[in-house]
Amino acid sequence: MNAKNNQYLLLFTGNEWWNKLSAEQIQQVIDQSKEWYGNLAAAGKVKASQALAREGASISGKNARVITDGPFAESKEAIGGYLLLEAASLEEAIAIARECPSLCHGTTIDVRPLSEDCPLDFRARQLGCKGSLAELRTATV
Amino acid sequence: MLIFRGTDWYKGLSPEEMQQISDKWMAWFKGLMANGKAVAGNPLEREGKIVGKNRVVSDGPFAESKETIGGYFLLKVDTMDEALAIAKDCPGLPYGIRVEVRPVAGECPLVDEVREAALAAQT
Repeated sequence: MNAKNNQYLLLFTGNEWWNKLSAEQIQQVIDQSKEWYGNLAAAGKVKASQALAREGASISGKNARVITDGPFAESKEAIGGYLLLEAASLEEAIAIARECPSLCHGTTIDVRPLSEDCPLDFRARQLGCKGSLAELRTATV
Repeated sequence: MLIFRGTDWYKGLSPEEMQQISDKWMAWFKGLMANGKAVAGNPLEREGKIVGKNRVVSDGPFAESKETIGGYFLLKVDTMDEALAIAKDCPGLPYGIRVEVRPVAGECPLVDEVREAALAAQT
């Protein structure tokens, strides 16, 4: 599986796991995380990284219904942040993710290769249409 | 950040419908890039790996589910309302896609927590 520009998105899920930890434990995870992240950044592996606010909104349906108190904070599936990683292979991206210090406290990390084209485009081409979404490649970082 | 959830919504659409959504989506994204509202956006491969408890690696996410993330846009806008207005224009909404709109945090929530704990300890 070849990721676009060798980029992998690490999605951190499992919010609020730190509520079970003492102040000392939290400080320890922060220190370890800083070291983990610092080493990756120094090695040029980090393309982007941000934490997401715990609140937000979810929009769905024909009428674009907005739900503003999404279950972001409590949900185990909620994404707390992301890290866009540059790695030579999926295996390297996984190896990096496995070093993440917060894993032992309940974080789950999805390792997702960036795609050359989106699922819709893939399906469109299967069905024989040209699929214009592939142009996104040139437009995105 | 707009997170697009759902990777099963395009099943059952005709090639013409797919093409139409694809064109609309492209125009939507290009417009946002052109006026500086979008700073990044990427589709994700349908397959990846999950690293979980005890650093165990498993396959996933499983393709074609309502919750699976298919891609994202990173917007640069002044207000949450503006982000919501943009998200409402998503061409996939009528077909079952769900857009999660999440502000980027100024700081990691974990760091906030430590500060609060430290403050609580002082009082």
